[in-house]
Amino acid sequence: MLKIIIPTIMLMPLTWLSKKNMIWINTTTYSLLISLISLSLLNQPSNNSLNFSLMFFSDPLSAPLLVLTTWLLPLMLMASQHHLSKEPLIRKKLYITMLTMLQTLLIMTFTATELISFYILFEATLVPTLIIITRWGNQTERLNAGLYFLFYTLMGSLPLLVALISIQNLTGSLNFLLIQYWNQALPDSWSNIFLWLACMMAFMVKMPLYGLHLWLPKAHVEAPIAGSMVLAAILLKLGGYGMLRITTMLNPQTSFMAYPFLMLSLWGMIMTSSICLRQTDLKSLIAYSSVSHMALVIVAVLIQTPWSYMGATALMIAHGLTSSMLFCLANSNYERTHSRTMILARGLQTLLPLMAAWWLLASLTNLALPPSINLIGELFVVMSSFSWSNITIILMGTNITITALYSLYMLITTQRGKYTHHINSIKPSFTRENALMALHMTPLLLLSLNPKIILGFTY
Amino acid sequence: MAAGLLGLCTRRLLAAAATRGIPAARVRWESSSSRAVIAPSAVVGKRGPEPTTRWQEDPDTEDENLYEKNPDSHGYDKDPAVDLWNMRVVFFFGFSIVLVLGSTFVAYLPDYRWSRNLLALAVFAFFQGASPRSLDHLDLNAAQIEDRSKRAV
Repeated sequence: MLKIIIPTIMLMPLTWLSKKNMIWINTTTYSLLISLISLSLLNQPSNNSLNFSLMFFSDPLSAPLLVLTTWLLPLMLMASQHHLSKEPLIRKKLYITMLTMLQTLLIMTFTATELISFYILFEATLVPTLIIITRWGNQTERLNAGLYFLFYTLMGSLPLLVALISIQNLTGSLNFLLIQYWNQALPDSWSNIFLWLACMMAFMVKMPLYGLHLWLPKAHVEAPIAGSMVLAAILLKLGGYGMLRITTMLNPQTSFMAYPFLMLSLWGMIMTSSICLRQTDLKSLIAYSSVSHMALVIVAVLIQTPWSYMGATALMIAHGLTSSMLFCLANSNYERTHSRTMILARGLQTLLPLMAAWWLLASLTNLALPPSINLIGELFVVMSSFSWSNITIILMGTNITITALYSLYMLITTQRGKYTHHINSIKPSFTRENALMALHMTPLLLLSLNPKIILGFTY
Repeated sequence: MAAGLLGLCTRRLLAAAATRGIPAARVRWESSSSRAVIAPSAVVGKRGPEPTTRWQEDPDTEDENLYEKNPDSHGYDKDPAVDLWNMRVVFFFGFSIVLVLGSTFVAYLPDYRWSRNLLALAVFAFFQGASPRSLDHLDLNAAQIEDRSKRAV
């Protein structure tokens, strides 16, 4: 793992010591090379996991998430170049340092063996994200957004710290590699029910579960483009990853404790999808879309069957790439019109036809068109939830329909129709923007050809 | 009298236009037939309050058109040389190195489920008393991948 962690840490001195006109070139180049190295983690010869050391390991669940994390850094750098072009050099370097610090913490979080170490790194990722949102966000609402983001996650995760320390006292170890062999069921008692709640709430807030999701639209909307990308693509998946890891030691309580959260997620996915149809703010629409997709992941993780785990993992990777691409597309509109209102930048297909093609592909993957990996993930989740309870097919089917509705609504509002008079002088698409979209879409399409690497450890 | 009324109405109109922020013509007109005068109102310098809702989230920005100075701009930097090299680096490392070599690496990853099944077969045969040499002649087709559709969903 040091072959990935040390080069990532060294991106910080690279940024500070690079010449003014080389900072973006150097950081983009080396972050792309780091993502190439991380692909080696997909080679998982053992049934169990790749154990690099006592502190780091990777298995078929964490390896795809790690590759997604390392792939996203160069994309974030490319997306941020325009809006930072007028900033002083020191602030540009600080921004890149924040992104690199976040990247390092995320890599270590996904590969940590020890749960306390995972917890500390999970909390540590909040700091650079908060700085990015509150310092480089565009509107005054960013301060409120930062507060919501920080305190929602902290409130959810403090009980987790208490629970982890209590489990450490009880079992003697919180190592993932040992916990999977922990066959002792948790006795049925009130304190263990609260232990279950304490362990899961942090990840429910992070996902987010409907009801605890109020921080997400604020944070996603107010963050600058790199902040939105990393929030949507990676930070939400930390919640899913944490839930997948911690549920191994919370049986048998999960079988009955999961019911209220399953109901909230099943209902919440309909509600948030419906809210998307009423949004005027483009980034807000994409943010609520993320809540809806993550509700599917919560359902999958709580059902705890092999197919649902496969669906959860595939959906996390697919949604990471799709959602990040949608935010980049929204940002390309924002940089031209300086507004997030959808109807202010309509009829863009006439003015920017290639960008319209990217919009079409992103919307189609968002609505889980076959044969994309989004469909594979959603289909696994729908099938396993049908097997768990037949009635869920009604809610799942409704959600899929409404997802298609709002994705097409977003596409038609921004691309089709007559363009408004105030945008007929917008600048044509840059190569940078087209390359950014291609770098999102190409892995997504390639994974459709070989999805087994993202199907997790139950494949 | 009509001309006087006209002058009065026009002054009111000019004053109203000025308070609403609509630019008014700053000319002075004096009627040749009467004493009617039309002149910009005294309130022309005073603008009304700005509207409380703004339609742009990020107003008053100075947009720099990168295409103006460099028609071949790729959107990375103002300096054409840096812009060109940044584009080249992104395409070379992003597409040619990572996507091409990476997808080749992933495509050629062995199917570990098949090889694990084969190993299990070999170990089983060995403990059943098969001689070590017979392991060279194992039926590779016997190492089938378990039919996942029969597993519990």
